[in-house]
Amino acid sequence: MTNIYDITKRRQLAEKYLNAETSAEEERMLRDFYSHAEEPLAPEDEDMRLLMDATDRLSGGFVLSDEKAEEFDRLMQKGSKKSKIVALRWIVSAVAAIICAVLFLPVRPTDNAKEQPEISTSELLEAINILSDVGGDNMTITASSCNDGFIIKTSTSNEPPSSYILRRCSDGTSIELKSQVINF
Amino acid sequence: MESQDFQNIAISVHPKLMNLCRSFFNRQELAYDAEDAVQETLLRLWQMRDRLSEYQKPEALAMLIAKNVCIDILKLNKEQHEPLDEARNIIGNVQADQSMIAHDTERIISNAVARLPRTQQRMLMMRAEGMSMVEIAATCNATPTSTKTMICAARKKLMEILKIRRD
Repeated sequence: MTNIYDITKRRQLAEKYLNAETSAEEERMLRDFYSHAEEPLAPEDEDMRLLMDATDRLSGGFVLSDEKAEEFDRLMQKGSKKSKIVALRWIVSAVAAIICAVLFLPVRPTDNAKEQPEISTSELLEAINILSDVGGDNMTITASSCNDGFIIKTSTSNEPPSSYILRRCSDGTSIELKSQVINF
Repeated sequence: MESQDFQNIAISVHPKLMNLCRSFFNRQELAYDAEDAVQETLLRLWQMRDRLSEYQKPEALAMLIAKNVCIDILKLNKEQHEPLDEARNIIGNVQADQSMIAHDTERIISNAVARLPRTQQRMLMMRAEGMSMVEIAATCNATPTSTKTMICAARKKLMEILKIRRD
């Protein structure tokens, strides 16, 4: 056992302590010596005493509290509720988007059907009847749908092509000539 | 409790404590090293080693301590962000205290210790509490050799700071 009261041995032990090579027992010896050492001390001893004092002050007890653990759990739950709400918001948004899509999509084809209805045979015959006044012999008719009627393009062998816009009447039973573009 | 027991407990519980502390700091948006909280937890567990038999599972006790540590850190962090403490810290700075409280040993020591990295502080604390090098290594997720090197560095640095402050 090192004689702690021998200044040379004490210096050696202090050096060993600084190099973290002392055993727990040797460190206890040093601590005991410096906590009870009487003034005045040599400067090296004074430094060591301050160091031992400093490390001693580091250690300390604590109180284990169930309240803190409960507070921890509460904070963690609070956090998870928050993230659940965020997740819920996303789900609600997604569902709303799907509902909108389901409600809205069938409307569009209906609109398209209104915008560009097919031309029925009777309508085409009526159109030919109207245009028979303006057209000549061997007239070629090309019909295509537009907003509320259809466009008829005519061409004959000896005349440049002309276009007519025909509109369906509101009752849907007859058609009338709306405008015409005749190329000369 | 045997030293070997504590080592085994520390090593086995370390990852779970890391997860617990990390998720807490993430949720609280607190920039704090989870490893540091785990070290503090295991130090407190070691301090309670004689009472371990009161608890059925050391792991459950470790988790309970970790929750305490996390709350302590959260509170400390809130306090540090209060303006009053900022002012107090400025007063406690090197230049101010040299003239005002140069001979206040307590102040010298606490300022010197505060200048050490937190891991070094805790290692010195663990050693002062009586933990063996192997136990400290298990607690800090380090090898005994690197633990010894870090404790050596911490002691020498602390001695150096204390000398400067005292002169």
